[in-house]
Amino acid sequence: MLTSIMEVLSCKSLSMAQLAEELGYSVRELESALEQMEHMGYVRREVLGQACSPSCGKDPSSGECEGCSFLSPEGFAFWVLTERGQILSGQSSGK
Amino acid sequence: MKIALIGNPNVGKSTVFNALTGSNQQVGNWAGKTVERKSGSIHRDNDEIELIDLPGTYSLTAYSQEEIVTREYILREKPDVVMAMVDASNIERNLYLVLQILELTPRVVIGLNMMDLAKSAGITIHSNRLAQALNVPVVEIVAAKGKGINEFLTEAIRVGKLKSESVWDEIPYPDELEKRIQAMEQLLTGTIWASKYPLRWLAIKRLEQDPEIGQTWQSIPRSSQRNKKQDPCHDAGDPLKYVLQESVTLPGEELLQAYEIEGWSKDHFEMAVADAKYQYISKILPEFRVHENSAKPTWTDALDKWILSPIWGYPIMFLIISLVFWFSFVASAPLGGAVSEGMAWAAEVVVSLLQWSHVPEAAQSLVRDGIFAGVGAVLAFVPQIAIFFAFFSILQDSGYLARAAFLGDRFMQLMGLHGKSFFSLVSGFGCNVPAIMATRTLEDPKDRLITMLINPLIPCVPRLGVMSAVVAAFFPGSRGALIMISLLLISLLLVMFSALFLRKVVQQKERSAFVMELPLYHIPTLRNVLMPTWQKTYSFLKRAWTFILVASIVVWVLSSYPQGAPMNATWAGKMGEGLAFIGQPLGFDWRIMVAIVFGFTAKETTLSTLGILYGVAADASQSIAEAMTGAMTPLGAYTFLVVYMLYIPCLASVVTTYKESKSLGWTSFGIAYNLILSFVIGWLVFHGGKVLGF
Ligand SMILES: Nc1nc2c(ncn2[C@@H]2O[C@H](COP(=O)(O)OP(=O)(O)O)[C@@H](O)[C@H]2O)c(=O)[nH]1
Repeated sequence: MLTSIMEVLSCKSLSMAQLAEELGYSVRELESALEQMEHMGYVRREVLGQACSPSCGKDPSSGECEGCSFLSPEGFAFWVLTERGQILSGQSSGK
Repeated sequence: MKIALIGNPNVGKSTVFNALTGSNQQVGNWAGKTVERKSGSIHRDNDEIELIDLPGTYSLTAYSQEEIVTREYILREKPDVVMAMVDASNIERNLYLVLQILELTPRVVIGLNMMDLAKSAGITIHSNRLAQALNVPVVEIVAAKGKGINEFLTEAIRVGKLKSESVWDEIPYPDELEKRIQAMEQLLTGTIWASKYPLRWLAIKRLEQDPEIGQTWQSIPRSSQRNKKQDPCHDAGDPLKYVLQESVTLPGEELLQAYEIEGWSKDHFEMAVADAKYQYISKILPEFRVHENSAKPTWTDALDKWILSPIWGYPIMFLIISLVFWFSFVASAPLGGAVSEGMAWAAEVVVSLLQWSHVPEAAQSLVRDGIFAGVGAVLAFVPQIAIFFAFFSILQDSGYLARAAFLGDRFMQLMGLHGKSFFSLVSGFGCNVPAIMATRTLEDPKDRLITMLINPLIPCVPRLGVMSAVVAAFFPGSRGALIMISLLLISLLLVMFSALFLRKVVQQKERSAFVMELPLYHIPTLRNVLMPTWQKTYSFLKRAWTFILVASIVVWVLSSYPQGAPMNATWAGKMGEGLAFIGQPLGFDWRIMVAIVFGFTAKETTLSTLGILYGVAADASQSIAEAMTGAMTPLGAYTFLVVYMLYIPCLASVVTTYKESKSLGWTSFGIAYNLILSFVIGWLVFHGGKVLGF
């Protein structure tokens, strides 16, 4: 299961549900496996967006950016291989 | 009797520990670690029990201090029994720890906690079947309500007193792995290590080259600890201290090297072993867990079948975006008109007041031709912008925006960019400044640079607002929506083209993939739509009253002096004339060039500048939109929109690019690239349009 997740992660981008369908596990199982792999240092969960530039500051009440006008629209959460994960999956595919 | 309490963080361990030990607790630190050590004593019938609350961990590898402490405790102190707490609502992850504990000791009792949470999530765990599957006793508890805790302890005491140990079926490993584990086992049999650790576990850890195996720690008796240092703050509850005595390499070095050559590195072993455990859990789960609504696909799944489909996803996305623009234009047209009329009326009232109080002519002109023409030009489009923001918020709150971003990754693949670049680009629709900063999460510096350089091509919301304002003036009704979409398509095509082009310039390596977490769809709440809409609109208005007001005054001064001079002989006129040679091939007159120059500071300024420069020339009764439409052909306006959309977003984005890239060269390259690209595309649009007869 972990190895097959790594294999997918090294070649294509999917949503969690698509990955679940592709590998035949539940999303719950995948999440727990991904968390474990993150703990071991092979994958990393990243959240992009939701940033204000340091110069523009945040409005404390609303959380919106001030000065640079707009907060980036959304935080996107996704899992990627870390360098260590890439090395590992690269070796497996070469094996 | 020694009992250890183990579990994932937040399973309710402390709740159980506190319930069992009451006030008989001692708190200290584990030797050399910053991990808290809690122990307590319990009297039960004739038994004296020492209960150790081990730190919450997810596994027993050597990645964190908590893990090492937990593992070392079980191996060294050899508790009579381990009470393993398991969260019934998240059983996959919790059983992973249990399997690892079982490799170290068979004397385990499982406390199945959070049964209430599991039940409300539609999960039923049959504890007797779980007990069968793992061959260990299982006790159901609801720690928060104190239910089952005593039974949990009673069962633990019973197991702790057993003379013989139960055996559990070891996790089956794939042959390739099994073969290697057994080879290592053979090497380690009979060594002193094998007497300290369970052999199979030791062999696996050796293959994983676990750093802590082979280290000998010596415990210092309590008395000598006391003598060493009398620290008044030192907690007396810390009964044992360890010192690292020696660290030796275990046998099997050659074997490991041979495996390495065969392609089995330590990471491979670790992954393969973890993989086998997860597969094992996945295999036994159906034996004891019933998930009521797992088979039933949710409507998110049903919708995603279409929305994320590689074939239907794109037409659906096109349709949704078209609808958003159509609504923004058609619905906002009357509102925008009303605001325009209101502004004109307000300007007249204020100016007649000024006339009545004999304010000098120049001041009257400043108010009418500078402030009202400039700031008013921006304000007239606030309804439109607010409606656009509202739709944007709906897309975001409903969960669609994340899907659109996900679909966009495929374009990134075509361009050979990292999928993550796309998220930075999508953020660019909000504001390019944080979007450029979001490139920090791209590890590859070349990836980063390319993403930073193409980001300005994405029109940010203020830019979209101004564009929609100009579009509304020239292309009223539903035509406007089509024009906006065509502009967006141009921008996206150029993003793709630029990525391909810059990839050649920067020479960047292959992309990598990701798994994305998508939020569930839900009906947007009024609050989640209205709040951000108001905040963004307010932010827009605030800029109108501060930055744009100042810019309007500056532009008014430039376009009014030397006093009495005809418009094209004022400072602004001269400045425009100097730039006319650039604008001429695109059919831009000098006013547009001046507005473009002012747009460098912030894009909304372009609109206020146009308002002033055209408003001054036009007679006072005309609205800004009318004045502008009188002075430009639709093709000219479209060309202007293209150039406007593509040339650098604002000063702040340039500064950010410099800060992030730390390269003056690349920043200048970025500015030049955007400027040249915008004018070249503008030229193509203008002349292409002429040839086509527009
Ligand atoms: N719903 C529910 N909550 C529980 C149960 N047991 C503990 N909790 C709660 O879960 C949280 C974490 O418990 P705690 O004992 O601090 O967990 P620890 O991190 O394992 O020590 C606390 O808020 C508890 O009140 C339970 O059986 N059901």
